[in-house]
Amino acid sequence: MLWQVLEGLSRDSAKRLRFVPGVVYADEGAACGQSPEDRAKTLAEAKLVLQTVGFPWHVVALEEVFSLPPSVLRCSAREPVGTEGAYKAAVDSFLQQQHALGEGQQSQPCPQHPQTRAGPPTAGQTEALSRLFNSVKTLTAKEELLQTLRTHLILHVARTHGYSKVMMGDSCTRLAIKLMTSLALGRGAFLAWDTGFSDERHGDVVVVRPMREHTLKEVAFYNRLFAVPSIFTPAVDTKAPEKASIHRLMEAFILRLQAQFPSTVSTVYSSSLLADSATAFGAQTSSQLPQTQPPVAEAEAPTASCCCTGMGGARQCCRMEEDQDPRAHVIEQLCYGCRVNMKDLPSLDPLPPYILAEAQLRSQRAEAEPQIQEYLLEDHEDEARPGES
Amino acid sequence: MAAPLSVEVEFGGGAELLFDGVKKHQVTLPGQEEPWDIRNLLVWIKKNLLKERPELFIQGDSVRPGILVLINDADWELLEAGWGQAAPGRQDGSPLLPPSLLEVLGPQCLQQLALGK
Repeated sequence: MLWQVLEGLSRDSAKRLRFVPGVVYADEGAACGQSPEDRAKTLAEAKLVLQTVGFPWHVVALEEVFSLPPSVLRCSAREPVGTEGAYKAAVDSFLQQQHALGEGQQSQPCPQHPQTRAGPPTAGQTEALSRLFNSVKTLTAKEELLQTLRTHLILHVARTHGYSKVMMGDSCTRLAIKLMTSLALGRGAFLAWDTGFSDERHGDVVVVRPMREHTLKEVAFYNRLFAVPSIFTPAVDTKAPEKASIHRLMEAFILRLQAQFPSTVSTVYSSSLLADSATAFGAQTSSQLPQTQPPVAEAEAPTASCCCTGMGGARQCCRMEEDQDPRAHVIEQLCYGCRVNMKDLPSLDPLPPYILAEAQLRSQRAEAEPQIQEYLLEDHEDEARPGES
Repeated sequence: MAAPLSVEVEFGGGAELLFDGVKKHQVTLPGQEEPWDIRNLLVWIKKNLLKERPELFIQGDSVRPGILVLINDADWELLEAGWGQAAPGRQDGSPLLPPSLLEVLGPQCLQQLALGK
């Protein structure tokens, strides 16, 4: 995908792309059990490729989820605030430099570009991440947790640096596998967002999947024929046996079926296109959990950030009952798929603080809402209610 | 009787993990009674190059689904004729040139990078 964007931005292309891209590399070595030496080696390889490409690049370690703010889970307004001036200045500077470099020099790396790496993660953070992933009992839950944390991290990087879109390189084959896996995991309500072309749950940042029409085989051949440099990093399920997780099982199932019936992946892909329209409505109606009575103002937030888990900070909040189960407060904020995953997490303590804090906040709001309901302004109200300041 | 054959075998996309991380192997296949074809070569690779987890590489007499095999940059699935036999449609019946490069690509061949703006 990166190579295709590079091609699309080159002056030789017939329809030149008109956006300014950056690249994010998420270092997940700690979650996958890589040694620090291997991680450093992979990172060095990644930096070489990133420097060759010439776009602004950002390297983030998965450990940084422990310093994410709770706002990453909230559906923000469309326009990212506070970064407009810096973003425009960066774009102007980039375009001016493009012009100054002249023909055929587009891929030269520009030293003024923000190429950020926030420093290597601390040993404490790495240990916390390892503890989190080691405490998860099944590989399925680990993979789901990893995907969720990665999404939140990339979202945060995008918001911080003023990116309005995130392009993921998921191929048709990968999305077909993801679709079937989501169904098996009870995430059918979110099929449209998880496997569709665009995912607008996060508000200001839209996740798009421009490679969803290319099969894995096409991508492999493209990479081979055009000598695209690639880096292989072991994942959480590398070398895992076929039945180690639902993801692996589904991957084996789809690939084996594809070998016998070559139209398998394209048929599942077509089904995902139908899911775009069909499941979006279903998701909105099913997002209202029985415990949350009136629709809250940020109604889309529970679905958008479905993996918001939190422990009840019962000792900090005077409104919460002392004998309430903190885990229950967390679980009630989750969608069905995440609740099933949480069963494989014996304790919520290792979870990153932003998740716990946000869940506590939402739980408290949900409890307080009925008490102040009559004083709240509805969106469709034209006049203020009496008694409102 | 097939003469000894020199082949370069390259592993990518994660497949190299099963071969001690070594991506390129220059191998010389010994002479044998039957002519060399891909299936024989895969069995030979399994016996002589594969270091661990054969079930992740071979399934039956072929590679596991998801693994791509390229012979001289051509997809194995498209090469209907065996290696060393006359290709269909060839008028003179001349055999295919022995492949000089065999590539095996694992299914994990996408970079983990995302773009924005």
